[in-house]
Amino acid sequence: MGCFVIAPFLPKVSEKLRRNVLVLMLCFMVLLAFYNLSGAELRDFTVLKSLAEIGLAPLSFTAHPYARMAVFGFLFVGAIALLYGLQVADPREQAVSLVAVASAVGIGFSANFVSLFFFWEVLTFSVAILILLKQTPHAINMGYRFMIFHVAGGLLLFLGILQHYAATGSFVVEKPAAGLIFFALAIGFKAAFLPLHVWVAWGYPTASFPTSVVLAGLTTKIGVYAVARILPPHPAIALMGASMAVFGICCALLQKDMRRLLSYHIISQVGYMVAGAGVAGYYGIDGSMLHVVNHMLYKALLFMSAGSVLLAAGTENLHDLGHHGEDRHVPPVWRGLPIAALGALIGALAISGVPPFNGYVSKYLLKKAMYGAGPAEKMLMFASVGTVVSFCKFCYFGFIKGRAHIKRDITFTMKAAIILASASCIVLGVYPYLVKNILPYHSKLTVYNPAGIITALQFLGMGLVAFFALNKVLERGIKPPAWMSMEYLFYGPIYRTVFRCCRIVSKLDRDLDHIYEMSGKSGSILVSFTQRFDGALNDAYEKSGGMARRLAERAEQFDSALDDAYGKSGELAKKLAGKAAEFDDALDNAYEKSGDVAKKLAGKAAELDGALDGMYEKSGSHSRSLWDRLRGRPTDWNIKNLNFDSFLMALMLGLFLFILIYYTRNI
Amino acid sequence: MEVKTSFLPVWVVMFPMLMTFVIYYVEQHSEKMRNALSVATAVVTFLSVVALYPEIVAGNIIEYRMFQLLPNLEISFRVDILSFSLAVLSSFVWMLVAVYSVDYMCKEHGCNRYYPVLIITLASCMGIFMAGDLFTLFVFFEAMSLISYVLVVHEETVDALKAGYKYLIMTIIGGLALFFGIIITFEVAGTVSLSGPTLFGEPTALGFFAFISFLIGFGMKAGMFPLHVWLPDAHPVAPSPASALLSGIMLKTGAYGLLRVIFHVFGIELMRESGWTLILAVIAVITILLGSAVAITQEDLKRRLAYSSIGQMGYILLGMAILTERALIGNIFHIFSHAFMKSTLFLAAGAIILKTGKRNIKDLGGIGRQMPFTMFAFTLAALAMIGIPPFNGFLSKWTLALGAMDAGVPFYVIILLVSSLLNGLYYLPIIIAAFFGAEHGHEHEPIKVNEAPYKMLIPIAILAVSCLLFGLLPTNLPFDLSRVAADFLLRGGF
Repeated sequence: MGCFVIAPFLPKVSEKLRRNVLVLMLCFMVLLAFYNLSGAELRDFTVLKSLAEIGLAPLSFTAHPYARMAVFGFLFVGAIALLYGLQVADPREQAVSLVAVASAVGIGFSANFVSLFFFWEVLTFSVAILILLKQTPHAINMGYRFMIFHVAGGLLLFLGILQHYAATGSFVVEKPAAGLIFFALAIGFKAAFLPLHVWVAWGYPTASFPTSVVLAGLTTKIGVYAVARILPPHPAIALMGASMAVFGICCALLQKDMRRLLSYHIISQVGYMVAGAGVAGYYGIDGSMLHVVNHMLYKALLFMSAGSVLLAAGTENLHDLGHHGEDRHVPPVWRGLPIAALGALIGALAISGVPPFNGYVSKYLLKKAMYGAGPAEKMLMFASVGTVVSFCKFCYFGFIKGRAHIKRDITFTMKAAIILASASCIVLGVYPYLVKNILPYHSKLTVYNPAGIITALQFLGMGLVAFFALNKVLERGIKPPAWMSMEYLFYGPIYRTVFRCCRIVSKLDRDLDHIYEMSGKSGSILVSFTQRFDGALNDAYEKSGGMARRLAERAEQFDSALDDAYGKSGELAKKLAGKAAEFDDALDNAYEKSGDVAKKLAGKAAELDGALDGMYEKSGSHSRSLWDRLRGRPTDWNIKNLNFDSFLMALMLGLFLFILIYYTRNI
Repeated sequence: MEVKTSFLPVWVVMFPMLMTFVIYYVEQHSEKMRNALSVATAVVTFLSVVALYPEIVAGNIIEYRMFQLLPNLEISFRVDILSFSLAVLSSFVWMLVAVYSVDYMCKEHGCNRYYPVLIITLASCMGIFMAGDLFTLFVFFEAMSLISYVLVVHEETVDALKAGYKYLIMTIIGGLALFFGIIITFEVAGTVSLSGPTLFGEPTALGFFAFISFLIGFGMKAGMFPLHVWLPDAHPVAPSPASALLSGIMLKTGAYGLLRVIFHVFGIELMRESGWTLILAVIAVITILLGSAVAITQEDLKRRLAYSSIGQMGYILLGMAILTERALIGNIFHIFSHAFMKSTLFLAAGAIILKTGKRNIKDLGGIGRQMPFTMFAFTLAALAMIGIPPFNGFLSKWTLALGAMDAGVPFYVIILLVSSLLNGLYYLPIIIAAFFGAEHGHEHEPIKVNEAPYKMLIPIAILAVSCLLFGLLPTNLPFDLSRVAADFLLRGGF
């Protein structure tokens, strides 16, 4: 069977053409759905075989029995939802919706984990885009959260698949051999397992109303399908499903927005399916998969009704709708929107499991499967009663008690879609044998027996009684404190912690930068120290030069003193030795000459000293200017005065060292 | 498999080098000729590299010995499959960046400096990839590092000069460390040629010093953890085409050098025995987490991209630390992937800065409707970064993760995934604000389409499509190349 994956991207084509193409697509989808329903042979299909060469598996599709059931729901309900939005939805929304439906079908038919993961991510992103397309700041915030949340889930799936593949070496979709916990978490993200359910209330009520009809069917049901297909049956899963059912109901009772209420109901109903898949067995799986389809039908129906109210009355807040009180001039909603009200009623009865609507059939199977499953069974019963109560609230405050002026009429296709969905609810309820071909285990569908009907009616009765008892409380509304919300308790702190960690790390990074800078600075301080040392050395030389000069001066003095002394001694000798005058004269001359030579020598020494002094001074100033240049501010280091002489020096030094080392090697 | 001698590698290196002078001469007369010549040079270089393909794919190695500088130290070229892969990638990206530069730089000052430097950096980059021994590698490595300083400080603002100063200091430190490592290698082995058997026989203390020196030298270039500080300063201040090259290609030269060191200098057995890879692994993990975490807190778009580069280089280092076959394939393929992704991102960021002057992420609301094409490319690359299936980023992460599983260390996989989530946290808000948000303060004004010129869009588009094309589509050439290269390296690399 070829798969219905390539959805057209047609937001830009003209209005009329787009509609025609869309209608054609819808017919095609419905046809495929019924082809599938007839239980005809579906061939396996593989594309991109080359993927196997790069260590992955090709995208291949196969019609697993579980998948056929789910895919029937995706196609049929997807078609109805698109029909509903045909005239009112944004063209971009329609295009992305098609992609989303296609990727859900893709997940359903995936034969291996590679294609499963691929479509899983496509679904995540297309649904996120559907939420984001509303473009209000709130929607953007929620869409962003949704995206991050599901990307995290996708990464867990990645991890699970990786472990499975590493353990078995095969990508075929089966019960995982390793990494079960990651699979469970990843699927839990999509199937809204309890602490992971928060995204349901972020996403679905925020999107525009035709979109939320499409959304209501897709993501969570994929989760259920994956639970049944991939996770091994385990009592814990059944218990998880049951607690989801109860928790969803409790939250739903507290909601004021119609679509928020319905969103929490999704959690609750998905709880039923998860419970069924958790206990497994023929009835469990059959009931669960049938409930997927049924739930998509009536939940789409309910969302369509709520959307109609939103479009026509401008609000979906149950309290706002009841705001007009008993004002006779404002007609009750059901009179303004009879078709929507009828749809809501049928949907409510179906979801409450009243015979002869489709909800009864699958709930009967589930009940049979849950028989003897311990606490989960009791919890599901409680949830059934709660469902009745909350849908009494939905219908009563929304359509009977609520009053509103009809501002815009709902369009033809919306009406058609509501009627179609209602009719299918009834047909599938009255004649469940339609699906017998694609029920995975072909359970007997003889569900209409007195015991079953009586139980169902009992729940209905109990629910009605409870509703009238709680009527006033529900009308006033209960607002739980903010600290009880999951966002407040869990995700807010997690998100903040992540950011705080990032901030700490970036501070560390900056500190590292500082350390480098500090080391640079201390280096420059060291340099200035050496410069000072150099200056001191210079001074020392200068001083020693001065000393040498003084020494030389003294020598000169001494010399002249000596000269004088010799002179005097000469005179003395003249006086003393008159007789030997010639000899004495000669001697005297000799002495005088030697004095001259000594004088000249002293002069030369002084000159040399002066030159030495000058040289020292020069070398001192030279080295100072080099350091000044090296010490310069970083901004001086630009391309214009890149110091090539210092470079050359470094290079020469390096080469010298290198050659030294090289040649000393042989020694 | 045989060793052949061919002049082609020398031509690949020498041609752009010679053309630099030609461009320098021509630009005195005509700007148009200068631009045309620069693009033509890059194209011819790319084609020359491609001309090596038949020989390489047949499993041959091409060698060419130029001359001896000192006894046993020569300038030689050697092209094997790894060299070829990186050379073909680099010259391809360089070609696109050269085309992109023509319009981007037309309003900038100092183009007469920019183009010759761009081309001579290409030459030295080719020289690095085609070097036949460590000495040649070192020469070209230093040339590329020092010359690209001119690209970093191109703007000549105070910030740019400061960043450039830091870059210069770090480069010199890295270069000295590398020099030290090469000297030790030469001392121990008597040669630094990459064509023979591994140069170190057993893990000695001297060998360890050499390893650390190489790690500092190449790791500095690759943005490895304690040495990455220059990167987030230098990449954002450079003009966008230059930052695309700095981030997309030049970081990879560090990774390439480390690969060569691990496989040719030390050899894989030695690395496994000695446990030195553990150092690399610890550094890689820190680098990944640090880069991704810090990127989240950055407000400047290009700075965020620069930190993201640090994180992604961490993946590549991690691949080298794991050293199983699939990790190595993932590692080499991630070099390809990251080059495509990060060049796309930087070029797209450049287009945004050129058209709107906005650098701060907060101002980017509604930019996706103003520049749909650019932002679409940005989105493709960003999704690839996060690792969403049909893109190449997924494939490299998947292969790396499988490699980590082969080595029996699922911890690394968790690091990879945490980092992917962090990638999501810093890329998704940009994309969402760009397409669905509104410009701050102008919520109700219709947004006019104001796209970048074609010559900029085409390179961006080609790179972005490559992210998709080299993901899950058939005939994945980069993946084949990385697989053959990994196999080649594990066989001993000669």
